[in-house]
Parts: sequence; structure tokens; C-alpha cells
Amino acid sequence: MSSSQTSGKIFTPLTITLIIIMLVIGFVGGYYASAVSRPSAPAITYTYSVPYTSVATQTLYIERTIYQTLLTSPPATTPTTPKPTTPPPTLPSEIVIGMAVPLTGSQGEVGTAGFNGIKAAIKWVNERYGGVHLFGKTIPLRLVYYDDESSKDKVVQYTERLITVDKVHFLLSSYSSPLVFAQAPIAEKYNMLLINWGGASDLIHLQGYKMIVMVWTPASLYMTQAIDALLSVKKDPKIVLIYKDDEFNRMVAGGVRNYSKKLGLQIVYDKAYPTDIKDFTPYLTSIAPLKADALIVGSHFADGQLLTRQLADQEIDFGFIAMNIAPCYTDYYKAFGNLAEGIICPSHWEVGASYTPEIASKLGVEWFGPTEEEFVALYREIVKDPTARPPYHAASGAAAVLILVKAIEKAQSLDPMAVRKVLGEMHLITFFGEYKIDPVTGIQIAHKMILVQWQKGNLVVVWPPEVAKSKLVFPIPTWAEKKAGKQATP
Amino acid sequence: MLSIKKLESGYGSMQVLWGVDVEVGERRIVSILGPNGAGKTTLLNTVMGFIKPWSGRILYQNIDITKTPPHKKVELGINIVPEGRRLFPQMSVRENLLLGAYNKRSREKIEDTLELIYNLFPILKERKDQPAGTLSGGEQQMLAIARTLMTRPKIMLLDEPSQGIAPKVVDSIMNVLDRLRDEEKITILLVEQNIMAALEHSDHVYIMDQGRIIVEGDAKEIVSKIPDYLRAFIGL
Amino acid sequence: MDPGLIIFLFLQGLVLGSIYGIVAVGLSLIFGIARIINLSHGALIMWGAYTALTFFVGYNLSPLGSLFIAIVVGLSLGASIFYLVLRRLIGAHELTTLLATFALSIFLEEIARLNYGLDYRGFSWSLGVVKIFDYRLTYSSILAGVIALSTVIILTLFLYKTRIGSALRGVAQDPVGAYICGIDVNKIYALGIGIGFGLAMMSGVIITMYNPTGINPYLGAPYLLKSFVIVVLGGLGSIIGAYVGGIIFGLAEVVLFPLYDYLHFHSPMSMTLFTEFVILLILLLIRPYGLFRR
Ligand SMILES: Nc1ncnc2c1ncn2[C@@H]1O[C@H](COP(=O)(O)OP(=O)(O)OP(=O)(O)O)[C@@H](O)[C@H]1O
Ligand SMILES: [Mg+2]
Repeated sequence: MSSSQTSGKIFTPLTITLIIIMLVIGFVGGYYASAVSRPSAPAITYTYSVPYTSVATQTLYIERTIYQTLLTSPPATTPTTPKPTTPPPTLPSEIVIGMAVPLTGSQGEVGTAGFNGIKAAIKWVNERYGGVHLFGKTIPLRLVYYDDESSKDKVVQYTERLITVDKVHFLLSSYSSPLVFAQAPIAEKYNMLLINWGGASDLIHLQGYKMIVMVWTPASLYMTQAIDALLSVKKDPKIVLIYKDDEFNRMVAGGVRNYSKKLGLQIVYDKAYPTDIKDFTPYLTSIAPLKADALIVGSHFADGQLLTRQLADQEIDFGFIAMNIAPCYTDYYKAFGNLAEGIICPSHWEVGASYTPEIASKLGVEWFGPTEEEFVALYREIVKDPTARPPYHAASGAAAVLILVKAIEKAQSLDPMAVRKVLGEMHLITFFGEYKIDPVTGIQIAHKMILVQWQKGNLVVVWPPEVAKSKLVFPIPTWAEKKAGKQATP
Repeated sequence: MLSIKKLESGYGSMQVLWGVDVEVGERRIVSILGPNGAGKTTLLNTVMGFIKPWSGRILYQNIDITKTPPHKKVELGINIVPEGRRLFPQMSVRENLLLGAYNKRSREKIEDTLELIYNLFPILKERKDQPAGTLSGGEQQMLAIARTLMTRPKIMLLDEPSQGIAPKVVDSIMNVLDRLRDEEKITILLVEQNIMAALEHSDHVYIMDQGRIIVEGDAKEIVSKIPDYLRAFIGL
Repeated sequence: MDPGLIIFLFLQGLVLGSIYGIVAVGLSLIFGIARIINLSHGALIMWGAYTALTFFVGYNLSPLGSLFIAIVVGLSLGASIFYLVLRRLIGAHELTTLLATFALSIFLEEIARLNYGLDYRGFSWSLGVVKIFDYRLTYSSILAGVIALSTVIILTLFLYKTRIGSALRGVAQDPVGAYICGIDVNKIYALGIGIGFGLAMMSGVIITMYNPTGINPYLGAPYLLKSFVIVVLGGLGSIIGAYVGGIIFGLAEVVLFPLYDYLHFHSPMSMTLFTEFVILLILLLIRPYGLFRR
């Protein structure tokens, strides 16, 4: 017997309608969920791929790059002579750059920022620089793009379409590691050059792909600048390292671990925490008695905030606290007020912390592209907001365009292979910073993270010294002092 | 007191009742007999409102209650002792009874009713702190009747109170029904498989098969009216 | 090991467990009364957290005040959702109600996303800390634990000592039996689901008293999972079971974490969570219906 007044029928028109509504909502929800989930290994296998399987490989790799790039300084100039290629019978009237980019969806906001940065750089190339210098002519750039809606399926579709239908000459990547991870095998399949300005995961470049070139700093080098900064103020520091147990932060932590080992530094606590952590108290209970000098955290948004809150509650003090992502945003200060003082966050770039032609000449590296003022002005024109402040995503996107243009010019060719070869040897400085990749994997090894520190209510660039705007505060005020109103004053 | 007119209902798209007419006079015991699957339970549950009637009318004291929800019917004085008893197994006997007095009307008479019940079923008083789920089958049936009595019904529908109970206990339950009619002036509509007990205690009898009333009549004369093909089914 | 640490860990485990308990209670209650597994539980917790945030930031109202707002809002939302959607699904196939509450969950999350965006929000409501030997517990987290405990006590008293409470239990045990007692079963379902929603939202506020950070539209999912495990551990539908299950988990965490940490596990907290699932599995082998379900 049915237990209520309703008859036992399940599929009444009402329930069917409900199920349909729910399916629709379910798909929408699934789409958002998929956009934020971590990258999965590509289903296609490649004959020439060096499958990245074990942690050991990753460690080895990181050791190699760090060893090469950070301890032994790279050769100041790499001689690159333009190859004497005969010009193709017909030169295209424009160079077409393709891009699938998240303008909507979970990555929409940052994706759009990057997109605007790219448009600003193209504008600079076409209008200020005069176009790409090729065979004695100047050829303008044209951008073809699709909104991939932060969806892994769409980014794959559009990447394929850009190559096969739109027949673009070069590709710029999408934004966020999962999306770049998804599109990379497509570019590789067609031997299409893909400039990666938006996926920081080292894994993208450890799949054996040859055509993917990274512009910004990979995850494994996110925190190495923090260690350099720490060493500049404290000899032989005791370091506590905790990190979120996700792919990205495992790589961040791996970088810290290896770099510390190379420098003979002491990591006194090195533990991962689960991605959905709701309580750091157990970690803090273990950390408190260690009385370490520095805390380095591989974090994201929520966990970074939670950790700050609980460190403050427990009053566990460090002279130096560097945390990924969370402290880089103004929300952090909104949430913590004075407690945010002194916290350090690594960033790829900030307005006011740009490289300049002077720095380039001091370092003896070739300069290319607009200065920061030029870039910011172009960016503001593009977004039609005279006060807009481009975030690092925009700068990274712009750098991708500039580096590509320089490489085309050096190669004097539109052949992706030829340009890729030049990209492997080129050493360049743009306003975004240095460019140089590991020639095999395409991973960025020269671009330095800058460190920003909350000082008197503002995020101030304190590292590296060539672009620093203020001195690094060390040791930072204790939690008790901060609660009493003390700020981090250099 | 209760008249059921051309009642049709069923489950999903399967019709079970095909125009059932039943009249229950005041202070009488009326029985409905019939083979398994005849639709007796369906009839009682439709009258209570657990199953929505498809067509037909149900009148109680000349008010149309066809669409009244079950808890309102309880308030009006029509209630059921359902198939499967539907007790609250984790509550004590006493809690079951007290929950029976949920309505305002029954709450006012709660002490009187409890006294009546402990008088009718002394065993329930002994068991009053025991969880209902641990009672024996007969005790559970008594509790089910008692809980329904707590709501102070004027007409009680009983769905096979003798099911799965020893003959001696059946007797005592049947005697209780007589007492309820005579002393408490409660009208009773009884569905039974136990033909002998039902005939002995009823005033009027309906025979039901395949969702229809086949014959009706006085308890004494009905036996001769039952068609042969049904006799074996209902155990005559 | 130093004895101060042991006492601290024990207290910490109780506070944490009490909070886990209250988080799970709403889920258990709704299942117990209506046999509905409320997949929107996590989204309601999220809305509770946003309630605390909004009223704290916007109106300077402490989370203690938001508790009441959350209960009232949850109650009305639950009752409305029951009359609008779930009423027709009582007794229907489990999958139907599962889908309905899943849809509600996505709906609630997306509204939150539209309204608040994807940013991680937080606020600072500080009442200071209690020093327990060398360690500290915040007053607000202790308060959260105590409020959770009192809520469970009040809820239990309500269920066992009042007429409406008995009606709720009656409907839970047999809705037809409840009709026979003259109970308006739909009203009781509405009330039960309302209380369940109210508890979920309220526990969202309580969570912010322990951890006022990381508030974002998708914060509920891990809590839904954890509540689910706790509810199964305690016995589906049992209030006391859910609370005791929470306490067990809270204590297990403070015992297991230092152990795994000491044994140099790479991610001690993940191991702790894993062990909790193992505890659940073993317990279900011994008592298939959980601790408190007959
Ligand atoms: N919940 C239900 N859903 C669908 N069909 C049902 C349901 N309950 C009963 N039926 C069907 O309705 C018909 C009448 O059943 P009902 O229970 O009313 O018979 P009954 O006369 O009470 O039988 P019994 O003497 O065995 O109790 C049967 O064919 C039965 O299979
Ligand atoms: Mg029957």
C-alpha cells in the first residue's frame, strides 16, 4: 500500500518534468565542476612521448632546471644568427594567431584579463612596432579566438578548429593548467606551436611534447625566490613547509624541497594537507614546538585564509611567512585586516615591478616590446577604463605575443618548427621579465617570480632586488603585536 | 451512518474497485467478506482517504467526505484499524496510545478512554512500558484497536483483526467488538477472512469479489445466497 | 608526550566532534522523518555560512545573532520546498527525491555564486583564546561546540517531551499510523524538513564560529560527505547517533593525526580521513545499521 494519499505511480508528468529540469541543472553544474577539476592524462598516446609517470622523474627534472638556471647562471647571450632561408613564394598579408580562451565560466574573469593583455600586445606590435619584420617587409598580426567557456571539451574542439579550419600560423594557450593540459596534445598532434602563458603546471611540459613553450614561471619555481629572499635576511633558517595535496602545490613543494637541499637548508617540517581541509589545528599543534624561522605554504584561496586565521588564533609566530595565492588578493586584507601585515605572496608580475630596458642592458640580455607605461596605457585603451590595473595574467598573455613575434623575426620563417627552434635558444627580456626555456621540455626557467608583502595595508613588491619597491620586512611583527595594531614597516 | 456509493479506485492505472455500494447503519456491525485480492483492503483505504477515490461518493452522517484527508476524517469520528496494524514499533505501548489522543477532541477525554482500554484489554496495562515492536501478534492487534479507540471514533473500520492470531484471542477480540457496539455505541465495518467469527458477530454482511459486491444480506440468511463458485474460496 | 598536549587534544577533539555532530544532525533528521536523503544539505550549510558573513559584515551582527536568522530562514525554506516539490515525492522512488534535492543543491549554489561570486570570503570575529597549558583554543570555537551540544539536547527534548515531537517521531516510524492518530502528516513532514533545513543552515553559522574563512559557494560539498559518513556511522535517522558519530570522528582525528604525523606520513590528515572510513567500514560489519539504529 502506498504510504500517503498519492498513488504509487512514479513517473507522473510532474516527476518527469522535475527530472528534466534536474538533468539540465545537472549538466550546467557538471560543466562548472569539470572546469575546476584537475587535469587528467590525455587519452591519446604518442609514439615519441616520454610518458611522465613517477615522482622520481619529476624530482630529477626539477633538480636539473634549478641546477642549470639558478645556481649556475646561464650564458649571457646566445648567438642566434637568422637562418638564410629562401623566402616562400607568397608571403601572407597577415600572421594569424589563434587562441581558445576562457572568457566565461569559472576561469572567465582571469581569462578575460589575459585576453585583454594579449590584445594590448598585438596592438603594440601592429601600431607602434609596425608589424612583424619578415623578409624586409612588415606583416601585421591578426588574432582569431574562441571563448572556450572554461570547458575542457570546448578548448579541445576549438584548438582543433583553429588549426584545421582557421589555419592559424601559431597558437596561444588557454588559461589555467587543466585547460592548457587538455589542448596541448592537439597542438602537438598537428606540430603546431603553442605558447603557454596560462598553465603553470610543470606536468604540461613533462608529457614529451615538443611544441609547447612556457612564458611564465612553472609551479616548481614558484617559491624558490622566497627562499632566496629569506636567505638575504636570515642565515641558515629553519623552514616549515606545508602544502595542499594537489598537483600544483605538490610541484611547488617539490621545488622548495629540492632547492633547499641544494642550498643545504633545513626543512624541519614537510607535510601535505588535504585539498578540502577545514581545520589546521593538528598541523599547528605539531609545528608550534619547532620554533622555526620561516613558514612556506603551498596554498590556494580557502586553505590560505583558514591557515592565516588559525595561525593568528594560536599565535604561532614566524619571522617570515610566504603563502601562495590567497594573500595576493585584496580580499585577504579585507578578511584579516592588520593580521595580514607582513605576509608574503609570490606573483608573476605586478604593475610597478616591471623590467625595463635599463635592467635588460645591465643584465646583458636583449630587450623587446613595450615598456610598462606603454603596456598599461594600451591595456586601458582596450578595456576602456582609464584607471584599470592589469593583473599578471594580462602581462603574461602580452609577453606570449612579444616572445612569439621576436622568435618569428629571429627565425625569419613562419614554420612552427623553425620558430620553436629559435624559442629554445632565445634569451629575452620584456616588461614581464626574463624569458628562457629549457630547450627540451619548453619549461620556463628564467622568468622570476616577484614577491609582494603586505606592508601598512598595501601589497608592496619586495623581491627581486632589481624591481623591488620596498625593503623586505623581517622578522614580521608577531600575531600579538599585529592584534595590538603593529604594522609591517620597512 | 456511512454510505459508500458507486465507489471506484485503484493503483496507478489498475482499477480495483468497480462501483462498490455499501451502507453501514448506526450501531451495527457490518462485515465485508471475500477471497484474497477481492479489493477489501482497497475499499477501506479508499474510504479512509489513503487511496484517492476515482469516482463515486462517500457520505458520513450525510456529509460528503469523499475528498476529506485522513486526519480530518479521524477528527470527524471515522477511523480505521488497518491491515498490518501500523503501530509505532519503537514507542512504548503507552506512547502509542497517547499519540492516538493527538486531536483536541480525544485529548479532552484521554483519562476516560485509557480506563476503557485497560478495561477491555487488561494485558496492555501490564505491557504499557514495553516497545510496541516487541509485543506478540495478538497484543499488537489489541494495541492497534486500542490506539484507534483513543481517537474516539464513532465508526471504526477494521481490516482483518483476526489475521495471524490464535483462535482464542480472536474470540476475545470479537467480543470486544460486540461490547464496543453495545456499550460505547460505536458502529463497526469489519473486513474478515475468518467467516465463522464474522458471521457470528455481524448484523449485516456483504460478499465481495473482483472489486464488486456480489451479494448482501442478513448474517443469518447470507450463507444460502453465496454463489457456489465462491464458497470454497471463502472457506464455506 | 606532554600531558598538557593530551588534555588539549582531548578538548579540541570534543569541540570539533560536537561541531561535526551538529552538522550531521539535520541530514539524519530529514532521513529519519521523510526517508529523504537531502543532497542539498551541504548547500544549506554554505548558505548558513554566508548568512553569518553577510550579517556580520553588513550589519555588524555577531554569528550568535545569525544563528536565529539561519534557523528561521532554513525552517521556512524547508517547509516551502516540501509543499512545492517534495510533498509529491514522499513514498516515491529514492532516486526521485535524490535528484530533487540534488537539483535544489545546485540551484542554491548557483544563486550564491550569482550573488556573492566565486571569491573566498572570510571575516574576523574574535572573542580571544583560552590557554590550555601551552596550547590555545578560541573562545568562539568552544562556544560553537557548546551551542552544538545544547541544540542537540533541546532537539532531543523537543522530540521526546512534546506533543509535536511525538508526532514527528510517529510520522518517522509509520506515516499511516500517524494519520490514524489524527496527525496532519503533511504538516509534520513540512515541519521536520523545515527543522532539518534550519539545522543545516544553523550549522553553517556554527562552522563560521570555528572557522570564519574560505566561505564560497561550493563550501558545502565536503561537509555533506562528512555528514553522510557520520550519519551512517551513527545510524541513519538517529539524532543521538549523528551527534555521537560526530564526537567519535572529532576524537579520532585528534588521536590519529599526531600518530600519523609522528610516523612521518606524507599527508597525515588524509591518512586520518582514510582511517575514519576504515572505522566506519569495520563498524558497519559489526553493526550493519550503525550505532544507534534498531
Ligand atoms: N499498493 C498496491 N499497488 C498495486 N496493486 C495493489 C496494491 N495493493 C493491492 N493491490 C492489488 O489490488 C487488488 C486488491 O487488493 P486488496 O489488498 O484490496 O485485496 P484484499 O481483498 O484486501 O485481499 P486480502 O484478503 O488478501 O487482504 C489485488 O489484485 C492486489 O494485487
Ligand atoms: Mg486485505
